[in-house]
Amino acid sequence: MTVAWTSEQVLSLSPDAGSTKRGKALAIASKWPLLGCSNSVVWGECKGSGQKPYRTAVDLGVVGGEPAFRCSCPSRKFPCKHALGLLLLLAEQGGFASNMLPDWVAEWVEKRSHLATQKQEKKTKSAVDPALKAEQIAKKLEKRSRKVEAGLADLDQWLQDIVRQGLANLQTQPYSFWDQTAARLVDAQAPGLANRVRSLAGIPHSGQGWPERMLKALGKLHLLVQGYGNIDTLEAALQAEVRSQIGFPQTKNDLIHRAEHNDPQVQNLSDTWKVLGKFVSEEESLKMQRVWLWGTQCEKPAMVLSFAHGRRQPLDTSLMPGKTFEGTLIFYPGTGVQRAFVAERKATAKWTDEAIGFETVDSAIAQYAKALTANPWLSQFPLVLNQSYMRYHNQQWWLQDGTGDVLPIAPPFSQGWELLAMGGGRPLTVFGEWAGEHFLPLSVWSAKKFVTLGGKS
Amino acid sequence: MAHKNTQNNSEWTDWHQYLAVALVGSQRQTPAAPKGNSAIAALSKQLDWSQPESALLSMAGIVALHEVVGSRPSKQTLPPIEASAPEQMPACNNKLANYLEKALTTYPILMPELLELFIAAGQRVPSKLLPKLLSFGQKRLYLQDEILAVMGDRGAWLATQNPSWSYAAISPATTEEESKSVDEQQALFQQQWNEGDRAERYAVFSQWRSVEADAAREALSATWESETHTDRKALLQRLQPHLSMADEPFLEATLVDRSKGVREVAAELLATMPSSSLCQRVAEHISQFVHFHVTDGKTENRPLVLAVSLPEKYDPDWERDGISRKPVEGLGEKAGWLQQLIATTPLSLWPQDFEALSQCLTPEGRTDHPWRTLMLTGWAMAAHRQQKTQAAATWAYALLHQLNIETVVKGGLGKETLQSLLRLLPTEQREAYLRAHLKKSAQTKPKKDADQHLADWLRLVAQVPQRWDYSFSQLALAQVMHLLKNSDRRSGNLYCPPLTLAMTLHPGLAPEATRIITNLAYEQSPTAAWQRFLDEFLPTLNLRWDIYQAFANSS
Repeated sequence: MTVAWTSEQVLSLSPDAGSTKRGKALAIASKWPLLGCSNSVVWGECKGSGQKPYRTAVDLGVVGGEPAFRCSCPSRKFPCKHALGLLLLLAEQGGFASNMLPDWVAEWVEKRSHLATQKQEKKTKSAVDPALKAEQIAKKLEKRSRKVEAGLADLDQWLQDIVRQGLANLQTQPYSFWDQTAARLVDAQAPGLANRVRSLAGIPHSGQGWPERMLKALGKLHLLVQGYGNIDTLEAALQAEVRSQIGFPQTKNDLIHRAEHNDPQVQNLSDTWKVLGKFVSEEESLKMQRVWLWGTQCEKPAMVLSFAHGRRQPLDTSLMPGKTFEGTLIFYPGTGVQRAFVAERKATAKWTDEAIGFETVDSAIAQYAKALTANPWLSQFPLVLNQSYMRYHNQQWWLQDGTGDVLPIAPPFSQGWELLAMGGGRPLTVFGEWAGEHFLPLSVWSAKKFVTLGGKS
Repeated sequence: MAHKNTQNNSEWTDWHQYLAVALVGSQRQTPAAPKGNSAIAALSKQLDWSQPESALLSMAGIVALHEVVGSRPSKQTLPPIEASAPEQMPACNNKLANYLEKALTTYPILMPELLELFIAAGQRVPSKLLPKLLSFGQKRLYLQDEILAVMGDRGAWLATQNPSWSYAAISPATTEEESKSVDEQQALFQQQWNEGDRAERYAVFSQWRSVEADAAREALSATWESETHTDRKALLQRLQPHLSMADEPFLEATLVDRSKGVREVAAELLATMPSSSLCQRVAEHISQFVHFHVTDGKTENRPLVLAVSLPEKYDPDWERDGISRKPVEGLGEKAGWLQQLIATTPLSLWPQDFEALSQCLTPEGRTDHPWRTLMLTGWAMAAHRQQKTQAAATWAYALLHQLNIETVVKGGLGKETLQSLLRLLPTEQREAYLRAHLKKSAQTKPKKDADQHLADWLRLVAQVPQRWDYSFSQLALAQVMHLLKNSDRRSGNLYCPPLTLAMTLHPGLAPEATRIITNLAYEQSPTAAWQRFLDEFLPTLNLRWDIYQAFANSS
């Protein structure tokens, strides 16, 4: 086995709490009369309620990067409890006896590689005449710009009306007041702005000092609108940032195309990337995930954002905290801490040394301020603190550095005691997201081991 | 807020004026360009204030940005924290850590055994799991000693950081300067007892009792009058684990407490000590109603004769000694009083010739003695109460063997009484009894009753706190399989607790059990009730087996 999995990593693949529970119950060797593994695939037969055992196989993604699952059970969960149970068992035992692939596993592996080839062929075929395509894209963009402009004019009027009539009125506004404006922005193809408007709805009910928070949030939104109004006067990178904040879509294919043609706006970096940690949130049927990477040579952070809709669609699980991989990232045009996606990846390995970060809170905050100057709309800033102590004081968790400076820990974080226990009064290296007011720890190095923390909301 | 702003004060005032305008609305009060030379004012002056709303919003945006960009971290003067001492014990490996986490979160029933295994292996719990472990022990007093033994120095350190875990916060001094630290400990108990909230006081009282039972009782006695009746009852119940005759005068005094609940607890506690005045008072009464004598026969085996006369009226003094006036279920009023009196009488008072007793209650060839059920039930209850005495074990054995108490299980005696008697026996006697009992059950007819007996038998096996050896475990598994094979929809009530059974059988049975049950599952699909049983039984037994193997490989 070249890749060692931890139980946490396995459970991060689970589609829901029920699957997690049932998967755990199946992680018992005796439930699996047959177990085997090769370099890249593990498989097993699990006894179920029926006559035939379920045949479960997992491609660990050693070559292609992403794990893939197959199970003969009728479950629509993906991965199903059997796949989770198999992987948990693998994590607990560290490996199974190596074996020849049984026929059913071999068939599946072959089918997968066949499909991958087909996909590749299709991709090459679909590359139509670039000139014609560019023309279509330009037309589409033009149409969209007009729509967005109208939407933004509408939004600006709405913002000014609020100030004219006074913020005091906002406390009595129903949710539809915000939601309707947001819906109009979605129609105007500015989903980024729509999200910002929706997030305003909670401020009037957020307790003392809300008018100030509201006015500042409205002000930042106003600056974004103004920024778009004067977009031609901005630097190219900031232009792209404003566009992406408003919600102009950027397809990966387009970015790959631009990177291939050396577009200066699209950065393309090959490096050894460390996966620092990840944050997952789940709202109704939408799951969102931020994975934070660090380029060891370029010394640059990157955020890989992914979404999954509905219950059945799983989040991308190819980037596991605690691993490093060699590969190429393509960055979305923008400023500050940039979003990126993995264009190519080669070998994955376990990452052994600790992350290098800031020794003091002061230097970390200074770096954050710098990023904020580059991108005023930045919301999360990835932060590694090397010499930090977990503290509990006044009903609140703090991360304190050696000089006594503190960062308040975000209230939803539930593993304060675990962090304190791992530190034992000695300094820890902690990675997390700093959002201006609160720090959310996502990973920690304890006794030279990498440990992920529950980065879920 | 975590951040102090570096802007000077005058600008803050300006900003608050604009904030006030925004709050009431610019239609009432038109804002104008700011004055002054600060960075924000200079930027804001360049805005177009002929469009006041737009200018005000832009300014708010600038302020917001300026504030975060210019902010510096805040200092907090927190009390210094001492690093924990270096660990003496080795931490367990990852595999065992995973099992421990599994037990803590989903299989709490495994914890006592798992802690024992950790102690035997001399390994400690890894840091990350300490918060869960310490919280687990908060309300489980019976596991706290074990938790202390496996938590390592980090655990002791962590416990000092959270008052809820004070039970584990042992100061390293206790081992070195024992005599001095006992006084300190005493003072600490006294302080927590005086100042703690309800939960803390309950916890400290239990702990105190385990260290110095008399001092704890005296502390309770000192505050007794000012405690609420709820607290009096709860604290009195906490005397039970370390109860001794030294507590008797205090309990005797509380027999006349103004709260009924408190009186009942006191009477119950005194009834567990046959030498207490309460038991002695009842013993004096009992001879009026129950009398054994030897007949003037000619043979050497002169049989025992039991004469029973029911109490005519309720003696008001009984109330204080916990004999309730209210009727006992399934018995007449007077018989109920008598049964309670027998249950409170010291067992040593009765004839100890159990063969003769058996003859007297179940004479061969004749009908049972009319008061047989009442006597056996009373004795069984007394044995349960007086379980700390030698007589209790003797009586438990006699009741189970010579006196055939299981025959009265249906008439007035709960099934749990059988269990509690079985618990009083030494291990090997339990097994012998259960093996004999199983043979009897198998002979029962019709089949429906035999199955019911079998299910009852399995329940006994499961609920006796003991880990059975391999061969007995095989026997128990065979009974499970027998019931399972014969199960149909009508036999849904043949229930056996899967988790407790999986906890008492030998873990080495897991592979065999899995094989047998799996083969069966291929042949026929069990009923839903049995499926539920198997779904809990097998994983638990298997998990135990995995854990035992993991420990075997870890050292």
